[in-house]
Amino acid sequence: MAKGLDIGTMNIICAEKDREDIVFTQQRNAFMELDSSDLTKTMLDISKVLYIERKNGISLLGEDAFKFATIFEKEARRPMTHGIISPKEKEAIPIMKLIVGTVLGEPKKQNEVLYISTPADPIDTDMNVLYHKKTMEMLTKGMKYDTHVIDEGLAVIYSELSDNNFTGIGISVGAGMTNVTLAYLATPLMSFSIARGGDWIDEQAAKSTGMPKEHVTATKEKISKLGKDVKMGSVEGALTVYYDALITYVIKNLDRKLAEITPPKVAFPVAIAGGSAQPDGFFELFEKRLREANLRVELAKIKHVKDPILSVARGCLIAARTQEEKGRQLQKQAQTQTQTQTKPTSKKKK
Amino acid sequence: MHNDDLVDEEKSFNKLFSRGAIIYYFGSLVFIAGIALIVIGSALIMFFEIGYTSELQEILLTIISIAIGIVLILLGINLMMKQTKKGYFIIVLSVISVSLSMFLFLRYYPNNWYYPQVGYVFGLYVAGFLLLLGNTFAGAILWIIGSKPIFAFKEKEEPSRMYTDEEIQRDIDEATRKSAEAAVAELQFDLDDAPSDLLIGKFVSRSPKNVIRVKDKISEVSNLRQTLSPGTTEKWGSVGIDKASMALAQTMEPKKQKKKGFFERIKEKYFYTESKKEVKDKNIDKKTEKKVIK
Repeated sequence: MAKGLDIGTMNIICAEKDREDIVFTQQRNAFMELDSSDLTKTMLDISKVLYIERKNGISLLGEDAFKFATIFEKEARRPMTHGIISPKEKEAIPIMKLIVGTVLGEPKKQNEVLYISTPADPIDTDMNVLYHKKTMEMLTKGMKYDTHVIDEGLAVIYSELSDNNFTGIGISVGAGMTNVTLAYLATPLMSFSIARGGDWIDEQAAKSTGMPKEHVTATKEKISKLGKDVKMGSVEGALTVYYDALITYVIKNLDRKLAEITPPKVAFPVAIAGGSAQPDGFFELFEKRLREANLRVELAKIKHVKDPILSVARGCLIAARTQEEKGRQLQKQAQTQTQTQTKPTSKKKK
Repeated sequence: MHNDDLVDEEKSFNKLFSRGAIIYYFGSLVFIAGIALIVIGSALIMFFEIGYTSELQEILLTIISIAIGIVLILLGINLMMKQTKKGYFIIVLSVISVSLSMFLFLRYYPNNWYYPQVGYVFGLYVAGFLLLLGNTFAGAILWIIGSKPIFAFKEKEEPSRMYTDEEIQRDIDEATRKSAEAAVAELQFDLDDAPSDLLIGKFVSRSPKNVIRVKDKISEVSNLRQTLSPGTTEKWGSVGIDKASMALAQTMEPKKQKKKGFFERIKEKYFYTESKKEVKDKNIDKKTEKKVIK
């Protein structure tokens, strides 16, 4: 059994196959600190809340941390920022290890194949994703998985562009980053990331409306449709504006990067996924801006992804299962080879 | 080191040039004097109508002017050319030899002009003449050899290329990225040990997670495998059959026995004990077979 793991700034999602189904296990990649007391601990134990206790207090982890932060109007802290492990959070790695461990679970067999998503190199900041990649790889390898790393954009292509022979542009609009990959026959020709995503939209909208960021995030996740008919001073209006700004920024950078390569002369379909691509009207807006941009490559259809938040994890699972089958096939071939080699000798003995 | 060499080369060139200019002019004068003497000698032959009946003074003047003229021409050429120490030594030697032969000629002619004196005079002159001629030739060859590599080097020089700041920056970024990748690949993390003051809540494994179950056969897996390595999937009845029949044919085909060489046969016979055993076993088998038949 193979697994796919989407390690995002906001969510950590594991995908695994269970008979005819795919099971996605999702957990928020967040934590929140509370003062420690026996009563609090008892309450948390009764409520089956995921937490860790330290000398200086209690840290709530995952979805609960996010819920408590919304209730107490506090800010939930993130082990990751802009798609990579936060250098500001000292506790980032042990907390992430715990969250990843709860989502991923124990491997069902030794060296179970696992594909994890990581961001590509960003083009608008000088931060490096190499250390993050290595940390995540080692963290999951420590859990006895046979870990492989895949770009988020490529995972979207694997998940959504099978009908096009895995040729096209995969865009993952996450919370911390937006990842873009252009692939031809499942081979990535260009990958990059932008250090702007859902968090950037939230920050800008919060600044514009004066609302707390958590409130903006909650509104964004519940928003019915991105549109221009909104109430004056509402969060929805600000979100629409900054979604549009982010889309334009992504497309401009995509066009700039396309100028650096010579892609094959085919029409490229586009698949847009990621946790920040969920609001209704997002695809329509992206498609409109893409058509207007007149990119250096010919565009085919722009695919409306059914579950954009699950797409990366699904892509990782597809890659993992392909790798697993490949391994199995190689093993079979080796077995048949040894059988054909041993047969004549056994005949001789007779 | 390289710069010092260049400075030395420049200095020696200047030295040679300043010295060479004086010698060049002197050599030119000697060369012209030689031509002039030959012209004079030739003119004297015509003027005196030199023959068996010519007077002694006429003959002496004509021969000496021509003989000295020839030597001066060669001497002038030698002085105009860049010389090594050995070259200058040869020039001096040849001048002495020719001068001596001229002195002896003046002394012996005509009263003692018979052999072996004639041979000495002629020998000394010819020796001096040939030495000068040889030195001229050697100098010319050395000049050709010395000047050739300069041309070859100039021809091989590649046109210099200017790199833009963007290209340089791209190269630096690429090198930095490769170096960072190599460094990260070598990293080994110790993630097993959790911080000692960290206590995990009771319901870590049972804490609620958002679980979504979706009906999905993920047929993309076979498509991806096919795309990533086309031609590996073999449908039964086509390539699969070919492969299976090939494998079967290989298995059934009797192995061709190689003809044993002379040394191999000796090894087998005298040194290879197992083969003996095999032979014995075979013989025993044959005997038992025969018994059974009986």
